[in-house]
Amino acid sequence: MKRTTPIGVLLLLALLVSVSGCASVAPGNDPVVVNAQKGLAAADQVYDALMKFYFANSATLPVNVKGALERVRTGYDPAYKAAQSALSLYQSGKAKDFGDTFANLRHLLSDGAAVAKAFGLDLFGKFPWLAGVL
Amino acid sequence: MSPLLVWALTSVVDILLKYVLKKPEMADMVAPLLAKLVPVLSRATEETPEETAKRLSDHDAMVAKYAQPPVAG
Repeated sequence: MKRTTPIGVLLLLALLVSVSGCASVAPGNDPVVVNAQKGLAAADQVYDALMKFYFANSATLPVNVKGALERVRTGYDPAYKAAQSALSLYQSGKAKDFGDTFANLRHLLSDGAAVAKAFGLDLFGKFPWLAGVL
Repeated sequence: MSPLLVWALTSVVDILLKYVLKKPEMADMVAPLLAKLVPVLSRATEETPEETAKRLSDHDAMVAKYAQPPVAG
């Protein structure tokens, strides 16, 4: 029996991978809400990675770095909740935007990521998509 | 998109993939169909209330792990 080289199948799989990697927003869904919800879920991943780094290295980190990461540790939950509240208000039609809440959350994590990067935690390598978010 | 429609489309994609694995020479015909179906399935949607509740619950559980500063060793 003749076997066909499955080059077509390989091309097809490559197409599937490339197409499924660029998910768009489904009709009827507000892209602002979809992106905000995904942003909040992503923020948790970043915070978790930062805190794992902080807790694993706290004994050896300089005081100023510990201070910066401590600000992230204590400031993250209130910043997240503020962003979530702003998102809920937006979804209910009581607000036209999120105010500064998402920017504040982004700055907090961005500062933490920058400090950690100087001490070996490359969050941008761990989460490549962060480069476009933070 | 309703779960039933997602299930139906996913089944069609599954059948098409199995078909093209058996008959690779048909890939040229099947690829355009899959190229139309897969983006529909992969489109992002807003969270359901249950998904939001789970995200917030996961967030609270994760934050609780770091409620206290690390103990300097």
